[in-house]
Amino acid sequence: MVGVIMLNRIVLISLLFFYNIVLAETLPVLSGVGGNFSAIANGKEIEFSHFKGKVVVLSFGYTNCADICPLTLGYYKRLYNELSAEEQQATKMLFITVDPEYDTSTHLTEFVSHFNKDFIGMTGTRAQIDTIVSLFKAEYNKLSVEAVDTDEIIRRVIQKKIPDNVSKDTAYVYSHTVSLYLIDKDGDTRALLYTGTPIAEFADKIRILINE
Amino acid sequence: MKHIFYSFIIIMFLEGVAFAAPANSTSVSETMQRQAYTSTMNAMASQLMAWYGSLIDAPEKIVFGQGFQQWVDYRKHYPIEIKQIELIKADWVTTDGPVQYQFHVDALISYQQGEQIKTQSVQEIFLFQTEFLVKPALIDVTRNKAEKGAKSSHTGFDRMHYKVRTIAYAWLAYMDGVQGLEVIEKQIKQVDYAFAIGDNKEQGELIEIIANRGSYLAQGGSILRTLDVQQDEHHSDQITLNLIIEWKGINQAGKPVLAKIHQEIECQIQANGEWKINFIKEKHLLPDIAPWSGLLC
Repeated sequence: MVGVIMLNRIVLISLLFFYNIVLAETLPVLSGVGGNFSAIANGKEIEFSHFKGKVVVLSFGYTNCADICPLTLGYYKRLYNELSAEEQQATKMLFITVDPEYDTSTHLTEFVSHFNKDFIGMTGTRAQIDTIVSLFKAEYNKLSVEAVDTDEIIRRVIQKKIPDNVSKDTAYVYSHTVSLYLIDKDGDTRALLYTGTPIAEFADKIRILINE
Repeated sequence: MKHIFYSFIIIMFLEGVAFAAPANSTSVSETMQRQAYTSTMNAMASQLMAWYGSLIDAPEKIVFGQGFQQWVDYRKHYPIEIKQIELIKADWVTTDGPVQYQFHVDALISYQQGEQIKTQSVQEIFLFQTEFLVKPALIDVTRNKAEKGAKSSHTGFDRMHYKVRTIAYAWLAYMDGVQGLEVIEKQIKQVDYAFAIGDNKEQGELIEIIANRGSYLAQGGSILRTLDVQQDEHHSDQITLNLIIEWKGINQAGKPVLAKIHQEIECQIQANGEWKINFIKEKHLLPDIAPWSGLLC
């Protein structure tokens, strides 16, 4: 009986092993996409290499985004919930702002925490953001010529706390890359996905990279 | 008995997967297959381009598989003052196992005869003997047909057209490890090479930099996707080739890699007509893997 159980386990392990290898073949390193960078998360300057050993999902956006960003963060939330607690420990969900002038680290942290407290919002100087955008072959464009009143025009997830001496909260509108970058434990980008990717499929890809 | 049955199932399963799945070991063999395929194809294409280019305008001494003499003999079959050669079709077929390949070429040759430009239509077969990562040897050229052809309606298939492609295909084959490509090897010590792969940037002597590049692109094959040629406005002897290459293979860690590479190859045409490569600049672009990869919202 013990022998049969052992054999069944071997079969199961073998199945998982080869299944992972077969699927891993669909996740090649996308050469030249990504790399190490520094940015500010939770008020502290950190290097992306800090996440070595973790699988990372990374996307670009900004807190005043009226359409895709709340959808992306909502997708992040569903994807993260699809993972087991152990898998969540092995995964980091990063959201990089393309509007670092408006998205302070405090505000960005509040924004992403609205969806899940584990999510990490990253900001920095404009030069730092441009470096990250360039590394990931992403893009963004400022769409409005002048800053617009966020109260009247933009639908937001949370309200930014503005200082008392500032009478009106204004911000620019941007377009930006919508891809979700799946990055392995060595920091290599392995897939470009999007919010239309079935959650279970995305989660499976994360698991493959966790188990590599 | 049951245990034997289970063991049998496991063995069958493992064997089945080993052959069917692109597992790590199989992926290495797939990578080698791709490397063999693309490097052989690129090296043969370079020679084919060199062959046709050498027929246009002034004859050029090009050493093919059996030496210069073969070219001299075969050159007699072509018209003398060839102005352009338009390749209508070039099919690549395997003949004698994996070591011999044929290129079946249909071409329209435009040549000067007296005051007139005439056209000859030819069907030729180029037979190559190949060996893994060695420059394929052109061992035979045969002609099926040579007759008066309809005037070519296209232009631009001149000596430069073929020279550019001779260099581009040879360079691709060289990058993938093919030895013996004189057009590249005779000048590699003079070439400055720079690459940017993510945040990894290097520049220096070609041999050193291409060795370092191997950390990211260790073994695989290059396929030329587009080739664009720019001639310097003020210096007609300065030519820049813009190549977009798709590379698939593995990195030094054995991970599968997909790359979309943009290379700029800066060349200078020497007084003796030879092309000197001065500088090669390489940048990795976002591979075309998903319709949403370039989408902004």
